Amino acid sequence: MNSSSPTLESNSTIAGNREMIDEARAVCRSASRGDLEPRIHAIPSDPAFADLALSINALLDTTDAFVREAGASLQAAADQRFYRKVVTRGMPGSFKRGSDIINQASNQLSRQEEILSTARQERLEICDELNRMVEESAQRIERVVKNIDEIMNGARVLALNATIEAARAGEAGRGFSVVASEVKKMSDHIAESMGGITIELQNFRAESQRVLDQIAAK
Amino acid sequence: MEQTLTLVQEQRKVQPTEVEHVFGLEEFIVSKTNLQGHITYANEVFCRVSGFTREELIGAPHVLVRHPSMPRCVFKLLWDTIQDGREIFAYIKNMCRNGDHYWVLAHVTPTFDRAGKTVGYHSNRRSPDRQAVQFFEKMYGLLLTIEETHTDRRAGLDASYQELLHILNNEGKSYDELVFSHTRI
Ligand SMILES: Cc1cc2nc3c(=O)[nH]c(=O)nc-3n(C[C@H](O)[C@H](O)[C@H](O)COP(=O)(O)O)c2cc1C
Repeated sequence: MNSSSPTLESNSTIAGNREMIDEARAVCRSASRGDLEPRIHAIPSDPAFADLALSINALLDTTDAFVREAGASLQAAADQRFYRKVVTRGMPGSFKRGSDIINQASNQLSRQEEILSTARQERLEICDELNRMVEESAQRIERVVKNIDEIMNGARVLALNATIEAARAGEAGRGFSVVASEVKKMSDHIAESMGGITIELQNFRAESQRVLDQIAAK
Repeated sequence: MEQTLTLVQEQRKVQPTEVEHVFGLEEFIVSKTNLQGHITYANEVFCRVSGFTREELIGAPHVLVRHPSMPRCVFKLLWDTIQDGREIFAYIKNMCRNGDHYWVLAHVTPTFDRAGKTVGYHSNRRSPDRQAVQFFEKMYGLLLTIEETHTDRRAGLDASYQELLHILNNEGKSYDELVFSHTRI
């Protein structure tokens, strides 16, 4: 800000500003080791030395502000609190440019998180849809199996009646009695297969449920 | 110490004016305090904008720059947050030595030592967003009115703090989020 910096007075001496120089050395040394906390407190009355001390303090203040902001905003982005940006107000020059870049990265992260979360939502919806389709097909198959079961029961009763009628017809019904017992055997066989289909269907439901749950949990 | 106490008492008697001081978009007002909120460091911009000398600021409690139109519940939120080890952003109206004022967007953070213990606090204040100042001035006006309707200080603070939480709840935002949503950073 100070375009015209104070110049050394003719009576300015390093020795006369010893306290500030020593403090400045210690402060700069700490800062170079990563401790941005210390500041120069012994501000001398000599304008040029005072300006030196205040400039070192200002440099540390700006650096400290940038470090605090960069750390806090990146932590916030990692915690998905994307509103917490680097407040670039107050940041001069390179510090402002660095802050802008961090904010762009945070915006990018926020957009990617949004895309991911939309994709997650869509995956859940697809799983729900598949689940519903599996359930509906299974129920339709169950109804068909039940129909066939009923038809087979009817066929068994028919076969029994045919056997009785064939017995009554004596010798003439012998051939027919063979046919009737074949029909009964066949319907027993089909009923057994239907039982197998029901068990297969239960397994299929459980297995697809398990797979869809796994996809949804990802 | 006695000197700074009388300085605070003197400031309480200063009549606030309508004059506002502003500072640059590429400047910070910086202060550091000890755990009690007594100033241990103040930068040049702080001295220039507030009108206090460095000697007056160092050792003084931060209430020195308190403006009477600020509701106390904001400072309760500030202290609760930093004592919990978290950062806070807040719009604050401060009073200069001569009764003029300046608005800041303050960022207050705890300072930790290597062992992670809080050893003090730090505040960076930026030139505020004008639109945000309008918003928070109105909100603080309401909160201050609530505080002033109670003769008991404690009851006034409780009531305005409840109202502040109520406002935040209605907005569905934390105080920080509210600050960010009104600030073009
Ligand atoms: C680091 C730090 C910075 C602070 N900055 C301000 C400030 O700029 N203005 C202010 O009025 N209070 C500030 N305070 C809060 C004061 O300590 C005090 O709580 C406030 O002035 C309200 O005082 P009251 O509760 O006695 O009314 C700050 C506190 C800390 C720790």
